Amino acid sequence: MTTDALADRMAGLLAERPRTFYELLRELDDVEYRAILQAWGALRERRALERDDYGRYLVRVT
Amino acid sequence: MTTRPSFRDVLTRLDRDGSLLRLAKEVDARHLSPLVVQAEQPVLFERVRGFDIKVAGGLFWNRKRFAAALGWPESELGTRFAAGVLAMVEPEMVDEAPAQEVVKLGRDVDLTELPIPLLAEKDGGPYLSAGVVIARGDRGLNAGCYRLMFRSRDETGIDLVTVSDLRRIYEARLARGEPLPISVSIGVHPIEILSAAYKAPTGVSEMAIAGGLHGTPVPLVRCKTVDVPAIADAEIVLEGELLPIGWTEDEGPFGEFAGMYGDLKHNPVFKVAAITHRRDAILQLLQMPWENAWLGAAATEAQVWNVLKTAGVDVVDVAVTEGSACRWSVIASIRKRAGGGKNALMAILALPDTKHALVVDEDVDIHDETQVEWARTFRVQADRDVIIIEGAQGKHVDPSVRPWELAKGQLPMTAKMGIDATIPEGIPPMFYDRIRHVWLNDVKLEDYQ
Repeated sequence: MTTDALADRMAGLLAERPRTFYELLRELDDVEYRAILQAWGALRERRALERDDYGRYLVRVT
Repeated sequence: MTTRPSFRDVLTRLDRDGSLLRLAKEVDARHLSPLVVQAEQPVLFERVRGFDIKVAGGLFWNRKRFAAALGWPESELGTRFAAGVLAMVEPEMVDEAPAQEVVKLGRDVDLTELPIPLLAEKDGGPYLSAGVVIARGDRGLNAGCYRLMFRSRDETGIDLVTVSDLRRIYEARLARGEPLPISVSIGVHPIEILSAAYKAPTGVSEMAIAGGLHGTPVPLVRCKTVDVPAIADAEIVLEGELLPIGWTEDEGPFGEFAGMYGDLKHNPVFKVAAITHRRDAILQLLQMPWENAWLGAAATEAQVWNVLKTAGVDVVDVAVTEGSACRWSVIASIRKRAGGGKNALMAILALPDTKHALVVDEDVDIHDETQVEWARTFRVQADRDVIIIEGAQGKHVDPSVRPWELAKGQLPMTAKMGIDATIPEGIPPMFYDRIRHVWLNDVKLEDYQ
């Protein structure tokens, strides 16, 4: 899976409901940790991440 | 370069002493934090899947491990630190640095090459937790410990919410719309990180304190891309700038030194321009809460020693307690004169961070919880020996001060408590004669085994 594809998968999970980074990782047990760091960075650079009042991440679908 | 032990020399010494768990089996970086939590010793992870960097963690887990990492006796954390502060040795600049054996600049900068671990369940992301941040201020170099939250291949968040010298230096740059160059040295000798964690008076160099504690200068090297130095024998150095954007980007939550989560914050961003490291670098992992708390223990104990001596108290021993984040609760043993227990309590509680103080006589080993409990039980009458001070300076991090009820800018206040567990005046010491078992010095169990 490419970095962008993994970033899309992460964005999809965060669009479902807000998640902590840990909860997101628990959904991605099949992915190498370094790939997660790379995709997380790509997602950050898209400036798509938001936070809720509890500090959990979410992506708003427009 | 001045020869003095480096981070890896400390690991080698601990390994030689049988005090380091070396794990050769490949580990998933997800599992670094829980494995350190479970280990009975500091751990060196020799192979982390997908990374070429080793990881070491758990070196400052408790008083015993912290003292072992420093190479100091457990009982001398405070006194040794106080002596180092009085005998500062300025750092020296060097040209050759192990920390620059590998240099990555520009597009080669990639923080994802480091196995930056996720530490706690509600943390806002993976964190670098053991970095010594160096910046140049008007009054010289400033060093401090700041957490860095991974954001992308060349960005981290940095927590600058609390008042600090670095925050003040950053604010001055921000007012001019300029970035602040910094270096972050990771995997340094415990004395350097201990000194950086100390809130030295403005203008006092933390690295000179470290030099005093070593008895030899800390070697610094010029960074490749910014005009600040880094610790020359560090394992890894990040160079770059704090962007002049102020407190705008999400950072945290983070499981903090007091054992609870801090809120989601807004903080500046650290833009990384270069990563340099040793060829076979080791990333240090500092696990909250107690590893960070122990970094402050030596300075707190040194403060208590000093304030008690200033108050004319004959001090025997001083210890912070781990559950109070090595800061809020202090135990001291003294050679008491009449009224000396209460005097000692007032002196200790005058310190800004101390919330609870317990004073015992010199016959009580303050590192033995049972002995302390015994003194508190049998030498204390609560109506006579407990001091409560209302309305003292508090800390936001303590939920019991109800910080969320405070108006913006309003500082919290706290009640302080002191317990005088010395033998009460008027009670003959004979009533506290302790049981001593017969012929203890005359027989040895091993002679019968």
